[in-house]
Amino acid sequence: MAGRRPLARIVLALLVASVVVWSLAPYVWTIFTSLKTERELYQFPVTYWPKAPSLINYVNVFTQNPFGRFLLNSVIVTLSSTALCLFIASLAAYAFARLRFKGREVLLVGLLVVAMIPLITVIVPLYILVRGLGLLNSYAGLIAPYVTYSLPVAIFILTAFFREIPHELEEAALIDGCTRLNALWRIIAPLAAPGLITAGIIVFVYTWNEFLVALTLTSTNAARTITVGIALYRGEFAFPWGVITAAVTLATIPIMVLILLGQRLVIKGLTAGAIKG
Amino acid sequence: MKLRLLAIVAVIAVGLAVVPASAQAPVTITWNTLATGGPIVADLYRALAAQFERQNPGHKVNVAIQPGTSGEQYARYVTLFAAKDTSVDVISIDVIWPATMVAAGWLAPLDQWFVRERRAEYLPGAVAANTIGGKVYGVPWYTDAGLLYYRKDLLEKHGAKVPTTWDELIATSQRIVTAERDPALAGFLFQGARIEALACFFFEILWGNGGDVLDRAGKVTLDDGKGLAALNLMLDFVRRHRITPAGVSTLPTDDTRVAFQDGRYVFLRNWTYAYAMFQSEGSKVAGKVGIAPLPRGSAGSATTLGGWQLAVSAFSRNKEASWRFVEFLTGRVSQKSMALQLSTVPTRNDIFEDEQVKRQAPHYPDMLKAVLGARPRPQTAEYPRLSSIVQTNLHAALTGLIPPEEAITRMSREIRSLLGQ
Amino acid sequence: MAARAVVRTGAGRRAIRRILGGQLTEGELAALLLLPCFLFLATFAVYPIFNALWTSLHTLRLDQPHVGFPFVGLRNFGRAFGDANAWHSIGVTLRYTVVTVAAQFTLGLAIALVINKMVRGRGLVRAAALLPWTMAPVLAGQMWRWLFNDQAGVINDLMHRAGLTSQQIIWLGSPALAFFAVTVAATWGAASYMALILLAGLQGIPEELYESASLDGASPFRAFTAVTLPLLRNAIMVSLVLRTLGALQALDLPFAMTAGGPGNATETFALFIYKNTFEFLDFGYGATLSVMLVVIALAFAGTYYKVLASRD
Repeated sequence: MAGRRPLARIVLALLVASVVVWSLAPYVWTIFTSLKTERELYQFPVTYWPKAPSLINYVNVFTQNPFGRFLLNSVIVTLSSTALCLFIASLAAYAFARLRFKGREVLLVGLLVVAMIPLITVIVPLYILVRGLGLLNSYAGLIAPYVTYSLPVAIFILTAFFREIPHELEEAALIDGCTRLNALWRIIAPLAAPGLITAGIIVFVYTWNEFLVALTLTSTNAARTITVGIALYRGEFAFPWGVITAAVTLATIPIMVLILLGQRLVIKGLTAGAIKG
Repeated sequence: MKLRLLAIVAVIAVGLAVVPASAQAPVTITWNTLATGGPIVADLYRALAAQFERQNPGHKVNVAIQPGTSGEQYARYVTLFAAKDTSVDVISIDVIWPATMVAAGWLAPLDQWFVRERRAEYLPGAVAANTIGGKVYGVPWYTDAGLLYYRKDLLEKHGAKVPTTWDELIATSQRIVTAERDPALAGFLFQGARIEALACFFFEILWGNGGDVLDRAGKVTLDDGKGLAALNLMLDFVRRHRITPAGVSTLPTDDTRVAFQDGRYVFLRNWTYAYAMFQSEGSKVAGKVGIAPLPRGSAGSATTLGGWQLAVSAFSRNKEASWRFVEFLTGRVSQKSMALQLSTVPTRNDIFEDEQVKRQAPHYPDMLKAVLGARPRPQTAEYPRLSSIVQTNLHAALTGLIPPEEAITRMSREIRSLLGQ
Repeated sequence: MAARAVVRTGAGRRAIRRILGGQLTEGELAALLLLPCFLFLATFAVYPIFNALWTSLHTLRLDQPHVGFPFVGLRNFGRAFGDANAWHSIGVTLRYTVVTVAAQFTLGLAIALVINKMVRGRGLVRAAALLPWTMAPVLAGQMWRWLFNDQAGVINDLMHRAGLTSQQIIWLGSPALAFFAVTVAATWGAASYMALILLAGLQGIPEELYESASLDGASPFRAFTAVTLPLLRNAIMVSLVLRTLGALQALDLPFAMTAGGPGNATETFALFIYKNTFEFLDFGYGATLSVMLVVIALAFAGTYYKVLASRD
């Protein structure tokens, strides 16, 4: 429907270009920085494309610290947390979106409170709890709080999406003899794919970037995630931009892959929905 | 709720303790520390720990290197100690932490081991910073202080002496900058962002004038006129003499190091860490940087004591073994390796006299001269809040939000109310 | 708890059959579906939160252990009401929240509409548009501080090259400009988050609705207000609530960019809480301030709920 008229086409292209520039410019800057040597980094006046591009920062990322291990830890913790969180949240969101029960409002407010508590105020009790459970420096010790603190966000998003799905589809299925749980898996979940993916991406990114909990609950390289790992490159005063931007660039790749994959799935989900609709 | 949880934790802990331990089981000490400066530092720490293990059979050291800034490390310690965690024995702490940590009951006193004769081997100011209420809670590990860095090449070229008073620094800056005709060159830089170093620089000028935040009895004396004079001098660098750009108010510590290293300033106030970076490969100012004490005020030159200490956790189950490790890390061998390999500034008098150290690091005598007179910041358990008050009001004055008189009045009022005066 | 007991009893087997057979009442099914969520929240959120709430009614100074843990009732709240710095930081946070959420929403909706109109290359543009939000705020803050640097910053450099400015602007040295700079950084980081949620909502709107609107002779603007906005209501509500919660908790970004300066012009409430808790070790007061933050957030959420969900 777009692009029927050339003018509209040009305007759209310009708009797309500005979206891309606005979003990517600081990222491009990050990549440029990661390719500069320490000296060029701080040169004045500013240089843009590095005069003498070098991969030394990328080499340092891996030789100074077990970056691969941090990456692996982050992938495991993040994927597990996201999957578990989406599963639990979609059950709860279905209840909030479709069922009438007592205490619904109270529970929603409770979720808001959980979403609102600054982590700094709960970090000490959380530490005592996780230590008591013997889960310091373990994946489970990170996954459990991550799932918990992502649940409100995921539930809000999924509830909103479940609500938009027409009741009729589900009712038809129920008449056909499906149970409600069946209806949830067979009808609702595929239709809510954009919502699941949205929530999934948000939980993934939140978990991937989380710093305070990971910093507090891990003290060994075997358990550290990437954000805490990146902090290892920092000095007391110095902020070695070259190495840090190289690490950030590497840490961004999994997220980019995820979003590109996610995009495909969204389209698939939509097509599936259209056929059924 | 908390009690019940603690009880559960205690039960688990006791359960673990019941597991029979063989008599020869090694004592394991966990040392929790930042490794400021990257992997070379971490590697040396591990090597030193290994050396300690070889010299002390039956002792094992678990080196837990922590990421982040000192602020993040402090938050980590707060979490650990608030939970009365016994898993950490030896910790490295910033010079401004002892008062608060001792008040909180987190550090074990070391007087029975760190006796008077031993203490005499260390820089007196650094030992004083670890002495609270007559007891000593930490051993100085490496020290730090605010220094004046200057461009030797520029001073020589223009036949200027190293300034010893602030007036000389202002005049020399103006003379060199005018003569150089380089629009990118300016005179003097300090840390003007709202961070701890801003408060430190203010203290340095204030002490140089013979003033102080608190007098000996702990009463606030900031508004006796000397505080205002110090703040006015700081503002004059920017507004009247124009040797410091107004943008200084946005620069934290390492940004000032970077700017100086890029050759954009004649003078810089910074900590000792900057020296090694100025001399590093690719630096525009390598071989051109001199070190001097900060210029004098009416009462002399003063600088802020910085640096790190080693202390033993009050919750440690192996205090004696922990002490032995602290003793080793702050001893001659370790400090010498750190001075030679990391260019840290030692806290032991004998290292400065060491021939090998002197040969490899000819700048140490200058540094020692600057560090020797370093003064601890106001020693009160309320220091974190006091510093925050000072920083906020200094920064408000530096950015023109409030006039200097008001900044000093507010500071004094808020600190008085903080200390209940 | 209840469900576990049910499974063990003899009635449990019947219950399982009823679950599988879909014979549960709505209330029972809801309880079952909410159970896993409840278990996680109870263990890892409710206990710590009650701990915070309980602490807010006490004096707990970690740096003064001899004081103990005396119950002081609402005295901490009284102290907060008389604390000019607390009010100041609440003011900063409210301004920050209103400005950033409005900017993020406008920009996010624009980005979502543009991407939704695209035919080819949508995946790539969408991935690009989402990237800013994936950068950890502490790093984004450092990066923007460097971009806004008055002497060596790219922004001044570009403005200078474009002939817009004759002298360097000290972005982070004046309250208004520093606030603006932090807002720009926050908007950069989170507009894409808004866009993600709104785009997912847009993709759920059937094309036929637009076609019929256009057959009825509606202008694109009319179609936008009559079709797009009403159908996006849930997505808008969710994105606004989530971003507002995020903005109210803003800590890393202002800290990394300005450390709360100049003076305390950009000291947000969360930053103030952090300082009181971890720097000043005043846990009782810190907990009190956190409870106040939650109350403020609930007030926001309640308002949204009233405005947007009233017609539900």
